[in-house]
Amino acid sequence: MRAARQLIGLALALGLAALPATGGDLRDLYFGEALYHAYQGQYFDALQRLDTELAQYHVLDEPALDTLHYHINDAEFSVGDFELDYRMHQRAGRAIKAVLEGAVDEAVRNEAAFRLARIHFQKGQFDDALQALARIKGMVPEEIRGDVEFLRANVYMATGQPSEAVKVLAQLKSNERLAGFVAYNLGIALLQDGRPQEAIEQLDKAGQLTADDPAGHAIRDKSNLVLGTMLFESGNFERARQSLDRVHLEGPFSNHALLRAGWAEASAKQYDRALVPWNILVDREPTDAAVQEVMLAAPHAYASMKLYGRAAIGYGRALELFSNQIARVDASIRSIREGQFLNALIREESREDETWVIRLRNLPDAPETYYLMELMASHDFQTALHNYLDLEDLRSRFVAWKTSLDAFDDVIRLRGQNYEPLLPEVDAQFRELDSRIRLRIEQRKHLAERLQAMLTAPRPSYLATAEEQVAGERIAHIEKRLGDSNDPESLALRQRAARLRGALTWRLETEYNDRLTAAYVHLNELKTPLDALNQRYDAFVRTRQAATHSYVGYDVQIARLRERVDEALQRVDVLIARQGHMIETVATNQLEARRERLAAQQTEARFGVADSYDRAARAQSDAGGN
Amino acid sequence: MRFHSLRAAVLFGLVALALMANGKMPIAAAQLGPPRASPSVALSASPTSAQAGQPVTLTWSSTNATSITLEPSVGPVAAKGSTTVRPSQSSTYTVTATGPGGSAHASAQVTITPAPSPAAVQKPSQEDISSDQREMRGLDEQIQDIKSDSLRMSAELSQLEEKLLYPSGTQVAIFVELAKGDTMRLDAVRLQIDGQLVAHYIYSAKELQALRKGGVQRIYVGNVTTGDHRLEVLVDGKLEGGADFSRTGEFAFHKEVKPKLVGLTLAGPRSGNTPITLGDW
Repeated sequence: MRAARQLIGLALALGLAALPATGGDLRDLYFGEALYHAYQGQYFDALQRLDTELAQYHVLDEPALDTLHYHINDAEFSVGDFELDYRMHQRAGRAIKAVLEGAVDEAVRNEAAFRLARIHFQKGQFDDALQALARIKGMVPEEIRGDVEFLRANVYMATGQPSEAVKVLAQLKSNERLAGFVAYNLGIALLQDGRPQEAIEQLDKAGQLTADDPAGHAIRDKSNLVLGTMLFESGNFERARQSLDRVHLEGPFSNHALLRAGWAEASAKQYDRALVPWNILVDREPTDAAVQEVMLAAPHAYASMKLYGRAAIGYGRALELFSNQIARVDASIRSIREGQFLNALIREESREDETWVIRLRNLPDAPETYYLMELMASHDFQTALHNYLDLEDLRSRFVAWKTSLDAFDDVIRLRGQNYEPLLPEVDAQFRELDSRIRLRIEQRKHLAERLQAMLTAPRPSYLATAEEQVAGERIAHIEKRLGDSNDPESLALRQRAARLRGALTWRLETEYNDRLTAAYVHLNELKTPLDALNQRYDAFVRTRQAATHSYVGYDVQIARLRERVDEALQRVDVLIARQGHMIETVATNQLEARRERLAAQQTEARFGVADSYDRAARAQSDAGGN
Repeated sequence: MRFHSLRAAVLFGLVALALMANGKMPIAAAQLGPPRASPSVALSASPTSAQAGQPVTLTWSSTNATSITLEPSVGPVAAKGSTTVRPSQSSTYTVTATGPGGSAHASAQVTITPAPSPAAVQKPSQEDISSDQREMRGLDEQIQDIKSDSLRMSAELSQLEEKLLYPSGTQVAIFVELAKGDTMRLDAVRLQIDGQLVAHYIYSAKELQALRKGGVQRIYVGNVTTGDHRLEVLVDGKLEGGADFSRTGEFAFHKEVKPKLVGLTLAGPRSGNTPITLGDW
């Protein structure tokens, strides 16, 4: 009863694949973009986006002004979630540790500690998980309170402290959301704690909980199956049967339960009753191990009832089934060795929903995967399959990156060809314009200074118009020519010149204030065109820099990246081959083990046919003799 | 119990066949005593859980019974058959078979669920580690390493791409999100900047789901000069009833020297929200 022990060893872990954390309205578009990718299962893109955002955020001088600031804790939590979803367990948790070490309020710190503990638990680092849980103190957000304790109990169970787990789970019984999980795990914890009677009673309760969703049904069925198996092994067939009877006929545990229910009856020598569940089972999926076992169990029951004719027919059907299945398994092994399994795996249409691994069998040229269901349900093999797909995805990314780098080279070369002949002339023109612009700016500055000085030391002559300046100069020239002569004509002319000067001075003096104001107005009017000039100047400088930046300084970076991508491509090719080989080996090992079992069953069936005919003949001759 | 006669074996086979045909009942209902004159009955419901008002098929079969009653709300029925009920609350249906040899009962529970809820996740805990598993884990670590390296390279490449193709001085990025809780089926979004078509995106079911959950799609990255620009948005979609609808919006935005982020929030015509809202970021 190895299967029973395996079943009993399992505790249920809930809620380990958390949804990305989003609290409240979205304020950061790039965080929203990361979520958009994550919601589609594109964790590589989600991680790349969020990593970049967080890296930029952490180097900001004033992070509080950034839109990511509103989501920073959610973002750090989400990185951890995405890393787990992308099967990067080693890295997962680093961002959450940053939250834990940061100055955050108690509820956030406690949630971070819980998430970290959950990651450690998934990675199998149970001591670290316990340490993280020990950091939870004070206010724990309501929505994770039950999950924290459930995780604690799981860690205790995983670390061989079932009595501690029992204490924690007993406190969680009232949690409606976790009811089924708690009831089942409590039963298993009690069993591990060496309290079989209490475990039986607890599993009995778990097996009778009302369930209204598939998960609830599955837990209930699992409880009943485990309980039935335990009771069967302890020889309590009647109660084992009662428990197994409760397993729903549709659920994933039903074949197992039907088989065990029959054995519970057969062990009590109630062969006719054993045949009721077994006859249901014989017509089910012929690749299922329980169905194959019942193909021998049912005729055995008929033989035990001395119904050798029916037994012979049953063994005959079994023989046919085993032969067919052996042929199917052989074909599958061949198909896997030919690479069909991996080919089917990477086909797009095979990955549309969660049941894709099972649906592989429906694809043309795909091998029989039903025999691999148990293997495929195991966490490690699932991770291996997903990793294989991740490697294929990385490979196609690397190839695309190589193409991108080639395109970047082209862009740079073309830009260089375009700009290099143009730029010297542009630069020369710019230098000339630049000196003219500077001159004008300097002139304006000089005028402004003079006007400023004239406020305190008025200089009316500075504000004379060109005409007035010419007139002043002509008067001075006339005065000079007239000299000091005292002849009456000169005297009259000198007086006229003096009157003219007086009129000029009068005008300059009396209009000085108005002229100064007007000069200020004109100077200010210059500001607008000068500002526009400055803007154009800055824009030109930026564009000129951008022109250079668009093709200068990338060579080293691109060469280095190309080297890294080439190297990664080689590594990924090796890893794809190794991972693919490993998956094929594990799958064929599994199939070979099943083939061995089928061959043994085939021999048993062959013997059963012969034996039944013998006994039937003997019975007939006995009857004839009588 | 043994078969003492061919008749008993045949009768047993018949009952077993009836049970096999009725694969949805609990095993308890399939457990029958030896074929005697006492009546027997089996009942199953399909599906066993449904939302209120949805049809559920009840199927029953009986032997050795003269009258059969199915409760609640159905009443007397034939020896075998099926009927459809539409329960509004969780109910346990019971069929009672009465005959000369006594009576027998069978029940089926129908659970009414308020709304579909995400199934809880269950995973097995640590199991024995085989050599295959050890190799798997060894490879797994190397795969994690190459994933880390790839993420770093990808980040560097996207920065390089941004610098080369969308420098911050001219960069404009347009994002699309759905108004919170909006249920419209977005089919396509078309964008024109200054009269030039820059994006025409058709959404897959997966992408629509991601938008509904609150994800934000970067629909376009490109370059524009600094200054004022015109953005025209055309949204095509379907209402819950399947009718097509189309909405357009025209907006102005101003590009400065830094990168420009434009967020478009879309809402269905029946949501009461503005169909297209432009947000500056």
